[in-house]
Amino acid sequence: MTWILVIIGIFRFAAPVAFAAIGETISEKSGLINIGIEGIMMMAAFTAALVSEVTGSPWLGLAAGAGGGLVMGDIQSGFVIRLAADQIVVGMGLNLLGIGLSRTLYRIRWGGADAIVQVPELPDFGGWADPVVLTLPFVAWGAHWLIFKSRWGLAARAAGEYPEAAESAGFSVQMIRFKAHLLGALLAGVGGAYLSLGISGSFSEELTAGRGFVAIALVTFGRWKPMGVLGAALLIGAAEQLQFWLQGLGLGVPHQLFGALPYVLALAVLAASVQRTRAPQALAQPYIKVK
Amino acid sequence: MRIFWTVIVAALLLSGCGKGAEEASPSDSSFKVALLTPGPVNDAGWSALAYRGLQALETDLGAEINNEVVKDAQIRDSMRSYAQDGYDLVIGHGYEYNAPAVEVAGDFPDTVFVSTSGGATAANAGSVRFKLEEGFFVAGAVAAMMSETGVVGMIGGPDVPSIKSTFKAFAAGARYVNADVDVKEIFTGKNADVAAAKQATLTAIDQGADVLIHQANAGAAGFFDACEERGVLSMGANSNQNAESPSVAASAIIVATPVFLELGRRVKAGEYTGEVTRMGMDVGAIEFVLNPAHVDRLPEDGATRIEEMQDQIKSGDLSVPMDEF
Amino acid sequence: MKEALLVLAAGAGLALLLVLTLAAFGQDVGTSLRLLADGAFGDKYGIGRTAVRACPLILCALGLTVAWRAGMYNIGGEGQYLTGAVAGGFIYQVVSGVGPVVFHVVGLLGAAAAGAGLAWFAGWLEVKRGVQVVISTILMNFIVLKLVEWLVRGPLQEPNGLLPTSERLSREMMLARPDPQTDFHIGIWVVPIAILATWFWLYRTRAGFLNRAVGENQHAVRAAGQKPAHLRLRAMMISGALCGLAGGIDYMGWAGQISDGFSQEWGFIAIPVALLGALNPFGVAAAGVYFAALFAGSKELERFSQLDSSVVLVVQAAAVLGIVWAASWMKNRQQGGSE
Repeated sequence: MTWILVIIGIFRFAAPVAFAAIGETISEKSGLINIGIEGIMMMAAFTAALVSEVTGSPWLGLAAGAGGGLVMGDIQSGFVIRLAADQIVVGMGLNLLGIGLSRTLYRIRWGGADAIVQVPELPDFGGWADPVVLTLPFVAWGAHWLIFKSRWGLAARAAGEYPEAAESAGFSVQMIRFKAHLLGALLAGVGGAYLSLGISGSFSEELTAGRGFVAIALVTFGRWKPMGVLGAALLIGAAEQLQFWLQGLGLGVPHQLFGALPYVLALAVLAASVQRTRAPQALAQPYIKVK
Repeated sequence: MRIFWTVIVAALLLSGCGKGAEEASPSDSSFKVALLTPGPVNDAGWSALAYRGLQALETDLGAEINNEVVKDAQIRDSMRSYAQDGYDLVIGHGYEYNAPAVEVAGDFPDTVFVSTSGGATAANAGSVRFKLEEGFFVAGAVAAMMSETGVVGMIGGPDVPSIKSTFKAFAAGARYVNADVDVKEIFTGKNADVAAAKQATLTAIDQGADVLIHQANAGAAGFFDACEERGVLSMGANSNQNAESPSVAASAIIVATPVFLELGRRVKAGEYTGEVTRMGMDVGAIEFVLNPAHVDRLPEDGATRIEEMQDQIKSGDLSVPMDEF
Repeated sequence: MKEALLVLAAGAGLALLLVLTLAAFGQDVGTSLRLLADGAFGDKYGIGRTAVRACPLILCALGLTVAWRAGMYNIGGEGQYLTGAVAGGFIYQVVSGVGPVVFHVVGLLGAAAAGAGLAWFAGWLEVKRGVQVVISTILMNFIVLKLVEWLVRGPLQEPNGLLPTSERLSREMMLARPDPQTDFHIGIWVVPIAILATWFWLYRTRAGFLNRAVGENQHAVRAAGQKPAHLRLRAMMISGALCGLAGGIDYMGWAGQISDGFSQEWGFIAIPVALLGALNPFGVAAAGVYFAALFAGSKELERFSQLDSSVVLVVQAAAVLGIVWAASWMKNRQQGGSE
């Protein structure tokens, strides 16, 4: 019984980064690397907390958070798809924007508060699990189906590997990437909203604490496969839980090194792979439609 | 085009948030004070208590005040900027401001730099050392009295010397009452990660802790949330947090305002000399406040023992462990 | 000419966005802009503030330029910068007794070598294992960042073992500051030398020519009897050396110690600097000063106006996105693309 509770606990705390990483997987498969997830998650977490407090409904808050993620993703897509701008630089800009904007609005809304910020939380079953975290395996499975089983997924993978070929096969690379990117931003938004409404019931300026960057590493660690990415997220989540558990038992562990774990594992998976390329060939390369 | 949307969305959200930013109070005063805090001043804790002191400097001494959230490697840069702009007093709220203060002071003899912790001094730099350990010692003792499982917990944000020192005092206090008490100590390593604070707290509770204290800074919401969720007792730190959650049994607090005012007066009068001032329970700078809602968890003689303990700390008969850094 | 137009367009785009952002947050635009300019260039302090920020930005961006010109999309400037600083920290532990000159020379060489080593590893992963540099360097940035957080609590921690920071350099051991009240230090003189050297190497030497050639057409280079993998590894090492050097200079001249938050993301911000500079050393220099001034000025804006520090992040976001916008627009127009 306790083991089930431990596993659910790991799911719960891994959920924000897992949602974001699954979304990033879809986006990267189509050839877009989004390093702006941290900013998207912050903005979504803030919007979710604000709407939840104002309306009193955490479900509306969750929807608003997902919507906030979408808006951020839409802004980003204007640069990386329409303008074919450098994806890394735009992602950086988006991080600055999301972190700066959420922080500013947070200070305006709650900066004068003389008490700890608390907003209505998503309901849960006895303090253990909630409906959102239960959808996580299905979201991962759905992403797997979308990428590897659906016709659209075939086109998306083609756009990520050989965009010119995809275009000549009659697909619009720009449209495919746009949809994949928005889906990724939506899931990052859900992850951010879950962080503020599902776990914290609050908001702080560093709420995401680097989870958006961990998500990028998890995509690599999970070898660009949604189920693998979910597994990677749970493994890292379990390592974090273990780290806290060991501390409670009085065993000192340098948690900075635990923080490096997702990135080290991702790099190790890449370096050790026999098969040459696992990342989509055209990843991070802007696609300019030739007329 | 989309960047314009962003600005428009921002403007809309802003109007939705209502007017919050206060207007600048034009001040022709020649006395300028800056406060550097490690986090935003709405944390209802560590940074908030210093900001109250800063506001008192404005109202009581007519100082022109400025606050900046500044951490790590940017501290020195920020201090230099304030000095370059002619500020008279720069207060860094935490031990981590002590070394930069002493160093920058050498380049800017006309500005006084004070940190609220730390032991190094210069002619125009020093520190006010709040002995929060005394409050944490009493808190630890009370936690041990209230615990039914014999396990108490401490949840920290970053594992920095000032926080470690208060946790040592808490553990000593708990063992002072019950030598067999088990003390759990978990750090998240992060300043404002609410989720990590909650996860660490839940872990300590799962390991048996039923009275917990925190130094989780802006992540405190997660700490209180976890204690409420599992129905255990929590304790507040730095500011009086007894109203933050129904689970709070007591708070160990710092009363900084009179100290800041005295400091401001001396700097304004040009009487400041670099020194380390220690402020504890004996001068009312540290307090321990019980929440009446949970006093029934105390043993019968509990209230009197708490009083005795505080008297002994004030008189110096009871020495509380305290790291120097 | 093209580059100059690009910078102009970007500057105009930025100014517009800046005004809009400030207005959106209800700020007095005139006062804010004056504070921004004063903070960056208003007096000797402002110029010093801009100079110390331009130093890491330009050196890192020069490094990125060399790698990108060889077709290696190195975005690991941040990790290489930090590695350089850490190498300086370890070298200090060894040679601190010998005196400042030895420390500065050995420390800076070591910093450059360490940065080069890390970049070489990323390059090796690409040419030998097929791991794209863009992915591996992102991961390495975060690995080094976490590693530094651990090091300053472990092997690099100050002798008392209390504070999470490396031992503070004494005034004599730091690169000299001619006017102690300003931030300017003599290490900044490395920057103009590096700009000229990089330019000369890229455009006036055979090695530099090959470096550019391998980025444009590796088959042609191979046909000419050169090994593209070799050239690319060399480009990565030069790239990492420049970034590492920046870290070493900032450690010895500006920060004086290594702690959490040592880098204010200079290695990341160097990416838009290199792009805005159109991968030309002189363009990079101009773009670096521009960003440095923006960051120096926005700090002042944050401190001495009612504008909250968080708004400054939005202003910086607007600066980065505004430049991307203008640059892409120009590029697409020249190519007659879809925009």
